Amino acid sequence: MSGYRLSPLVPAETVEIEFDGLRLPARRGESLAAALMANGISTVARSFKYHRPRGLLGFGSWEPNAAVETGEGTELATNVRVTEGLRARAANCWPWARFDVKSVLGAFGALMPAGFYYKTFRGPGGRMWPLFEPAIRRAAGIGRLPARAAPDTVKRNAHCDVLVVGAGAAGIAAALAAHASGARVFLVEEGDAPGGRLLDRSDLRVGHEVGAVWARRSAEEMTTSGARVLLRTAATGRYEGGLVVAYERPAGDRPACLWKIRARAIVLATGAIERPLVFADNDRPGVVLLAAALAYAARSRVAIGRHAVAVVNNDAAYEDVMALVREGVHVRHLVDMRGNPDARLAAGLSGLGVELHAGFAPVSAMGCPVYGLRIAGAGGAYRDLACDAVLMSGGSTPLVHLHSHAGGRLRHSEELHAFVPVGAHDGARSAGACNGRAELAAALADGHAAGSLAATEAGLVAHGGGAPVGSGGTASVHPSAGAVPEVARGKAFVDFAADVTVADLRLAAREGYDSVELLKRYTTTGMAVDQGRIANLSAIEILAQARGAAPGDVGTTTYRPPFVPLPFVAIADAGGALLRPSRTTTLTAWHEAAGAVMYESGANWRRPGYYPRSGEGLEAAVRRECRAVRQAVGIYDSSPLGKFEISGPDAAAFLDFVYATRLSDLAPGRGRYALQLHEDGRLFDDGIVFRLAPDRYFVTTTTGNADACHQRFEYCRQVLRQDLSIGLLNVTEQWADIVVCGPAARQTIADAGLPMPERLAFLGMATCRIAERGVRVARAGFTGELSFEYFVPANAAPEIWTRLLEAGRRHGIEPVGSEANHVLRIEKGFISVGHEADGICGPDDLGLSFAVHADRPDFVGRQALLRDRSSPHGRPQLVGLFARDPGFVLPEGAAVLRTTGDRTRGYVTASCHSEAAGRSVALALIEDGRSLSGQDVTLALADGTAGARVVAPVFYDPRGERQRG
Amino acid sequence: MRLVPCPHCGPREAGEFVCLGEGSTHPVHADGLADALYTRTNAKGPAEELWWHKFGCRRWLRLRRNSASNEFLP
Amino acid sequence: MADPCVTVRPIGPERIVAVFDTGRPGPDAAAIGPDTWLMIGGDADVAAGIDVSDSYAGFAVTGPSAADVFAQGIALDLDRAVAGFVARTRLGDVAVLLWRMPDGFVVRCERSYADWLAAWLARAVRLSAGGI
Repeated sequence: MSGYRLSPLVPAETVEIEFDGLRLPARRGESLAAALMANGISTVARSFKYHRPRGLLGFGSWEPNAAVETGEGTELATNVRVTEGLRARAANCWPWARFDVKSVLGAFGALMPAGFYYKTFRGPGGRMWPLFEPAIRRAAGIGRLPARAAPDTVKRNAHCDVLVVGAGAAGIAAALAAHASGARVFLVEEGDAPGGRLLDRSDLRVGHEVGAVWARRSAEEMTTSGARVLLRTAATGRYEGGLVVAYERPAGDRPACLWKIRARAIVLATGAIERPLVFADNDRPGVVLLAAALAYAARSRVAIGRHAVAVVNNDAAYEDVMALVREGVHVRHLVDMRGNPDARLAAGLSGLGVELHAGFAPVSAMGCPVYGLRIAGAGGAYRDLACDAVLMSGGSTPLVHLHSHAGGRLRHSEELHAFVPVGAHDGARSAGACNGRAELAAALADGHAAGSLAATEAGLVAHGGGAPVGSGGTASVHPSAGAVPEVARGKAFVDFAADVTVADLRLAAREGYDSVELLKRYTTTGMAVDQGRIANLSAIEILAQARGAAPGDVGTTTYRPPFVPLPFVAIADAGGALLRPSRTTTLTAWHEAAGAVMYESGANWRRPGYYPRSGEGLEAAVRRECRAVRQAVGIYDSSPLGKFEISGPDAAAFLDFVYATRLSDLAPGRGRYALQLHEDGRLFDDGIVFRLAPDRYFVTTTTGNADACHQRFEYCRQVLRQDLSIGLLNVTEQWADIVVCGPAARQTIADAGLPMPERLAFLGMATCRIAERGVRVARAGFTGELSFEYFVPANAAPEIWTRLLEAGRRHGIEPVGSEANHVLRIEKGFISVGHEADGICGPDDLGLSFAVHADRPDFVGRQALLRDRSSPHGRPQLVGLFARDPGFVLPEGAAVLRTTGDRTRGYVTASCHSEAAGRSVALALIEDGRSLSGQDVTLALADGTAGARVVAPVFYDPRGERQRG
Repeated sequence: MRLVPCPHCGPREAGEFVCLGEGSTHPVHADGLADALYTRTNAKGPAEELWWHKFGCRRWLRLRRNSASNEFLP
Repeated sequence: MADPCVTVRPIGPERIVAVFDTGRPGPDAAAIGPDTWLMIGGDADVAAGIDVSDSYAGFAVTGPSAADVFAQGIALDLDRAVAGFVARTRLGDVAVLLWRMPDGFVVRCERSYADWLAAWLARAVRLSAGGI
């Protein structure tokens, strides 16, 4: 190929770019693809599988070959804009596209048919695959991740009455009609300018204007009067409920934007693309789609070559060839695969000096880059045509993808040899070339009608005006034959992006993969970057030939988003840490200032894990924190605990229904450890429920289940027990929860000058005031020590926390993190929801029967609980474990076996070194575990086994005297 | 994203909701307990479902949806 | 980079009370559950409900581009959010309450998400700088 510029570069707009190590002059703002073509670079990529040299085939996002790396990720060269200092390299090759080491694979092409990897490397029963997989994976794929952090991408929700996708003739006519009715109109267009094919064909006119001028003026006028026209914005998917997602690559420095556009009605005017013809070596650099060559010439002012040959099977292609010649590109031959050319079109051609060869099919491209085309006539006569570019036009492929995405149906059109939409779907209707109406006048009328209907559907009164009138572009796009000549042989490519040839498809059909869905998966045709835009119809045609069926009976595969490739960063929010919210308490700042190692924990809370002193590691810090709680005093921030206020005349009855624990007989000022069950009798959540007043309860839940409990409380009151009248309020965020625990807790609180009701008994709650604010004090905690929980208004917490710490200093107070809390609760055998309550265990399994009051008429989980009691064997039961080696901490999650070689009987749920017990301790759930008390079991570890003895699941103060003291 | 017609808030994106499908019933007899707990109709076509508008009005809604076409029915 | 078209300002402390009522108890009251309302500031009578002043954090987002800032995360049609508009909805993974104000919006979230929401708003303002 010997591409060149049709208009010379002006110094003011010239910049230097680099591609595959070559320095090239280019025009600022043009596409990289145009710049490469203008510089005569014919080989711009290597193919996916065989690493064959490839040139540009298409234009815009319908380019299957030219994937390049720009330092910001892998992009199509057709979508990369030239800027000063742009550096790009071809993606699928090393070192460069023009010389690629892996191109040796092409020599083995005949040995790599469809299904090659499965057949060769899987071996009998797939046993060989693991051996080969790493090498194959390394050799596969296109592009590398950019080293730089992803650039910002904006996401934006938008709403409109009528969304029009595509600003070609039909799209603009539709937008004008909807806009005239007063609708809020959004018009999105993938290209740099409105107009679509009008930009390529100066012979197309709308009204009294040149089509391109009409398109630009219409878009400007609509923008001025309130419509939104987004250029360089590709619709990537259509979803239920009138949602279209579009990706905008703005000009200039603005960040890219992923639009979520919700429309009452949608007009799809996505147009059509040209279909390649299938002949040997049709992938050689220099073989391009005719429409692409025309677009490069008309829009980028770049010629594909100096003497081209066009191969076509439809009338409209004649008009494109004539337009190309008028742009200044020399086309020497036009090969028409049909026998009887239209006399008027043929006369037009000869007037421009193009020689016509009617009734000839393409056989093979010669040279690399291409220097000739061999064609064959009906009688087998060959002709070799010298050329430096081959322009293919195999008919029009309507872009029906967006119609199809959300479930719109398609039918096969015999005239178009293509699939077209059946009617409107979910408020979206197609118009213009994507609807099978490609000729200008028909496209304008179709677009106008669709725009008016869409406005009506959006609830507006359609404007009565008529459709814009078009002239020119009357030749039919209907191909009179398929795009796959009978003579297609050898490396005749169907899917350029996935490297699938006509031979692969025929082989697959012979091997029985003769449904279109199987064919796709077996050969990967249509699964690459262009999502089958280029290949699908030819593949269907080949399958139809092989089966002796009509293409309409073969059918098409399902199209799914994204319609055009879009970077992952556009989908995965680039907000980094913002992607997942991290929740803070009013004490988080203190924890961080104190040097705590912060953990991301349940329900997105950011919590202190431990507070290391300088030079201190995790273990030493945890030991110190535990010792303070057991021997002096500790303080911890339990604010994330779920908290609810349930009030009203039926509050007691409601809680009696929701909880397996009776709460109606609780005296005001008292609390009780209470369980919630699933309907199937498994433990769902635990916590302490306090009664503030006869008609008012303060309910605590676990941190991780706070939201789930809220959902469940609402479910119980709104769905299951509408007879009960309660007020329900989630007050998790209102109350910080400061826990002071340990033998010196009482003294610390007194020294801090905080109120402490003298006679507050274990699980009692009292209200008092601190600094003018109401505070709730409870005798409760999770450590087994004398413990006071101060529920204080969240914003009052820092001051109270600091007072307690200062007062506690002379008692040896330590702030305690979640690591130490874990040890303290294991020592006491307190269960933790998510560890021991694993969704399988019921209350009895966990030794919690004392908290179930089943002698009541009804509560959630009661029926299952009653039934469970009839079959008590084989249940997992909570036990303690002493490792044979008291210095060895059993790994959490280790499987428990009765003896070596036994099946798994359970697993270790929690494990730690306990200074209080003077050894390592663990909790485990073991099948019928309580009956094994005193017996030895075996633990399966990653590197061998360990022995342990089953003991009671409490390792410290088994009678609970300390916490009640 | 699908719009869910909340009768209190108007149409909202499905991501604001928790869908419980046919929902869990509350069994009051041990007879037929397994069916009550685990068996669902999963009808193809119109079905009544429970949705919780977690990010909106926090109401539990009984909505009719065609499980085959994914359309909400009046 | 600040956008002169949008200003974000934390608000509060303010008095917020949750009340149970079958009908909307005040023009600015926001529903947070069935028959459960938040009353803000002057409308809020602590004796009539439960004091939840410490539960929420709020930001005033003002200026002509305020709706565009929220459009980066909220799926509601904010062009149609006229005077008197108040809604509970989803921003990212967080439930927010949104009030239309004469000069923009007030957004409130549960207090634990305040740092996240402030950072989200700052980024959204930065990304909308330069117009859309």
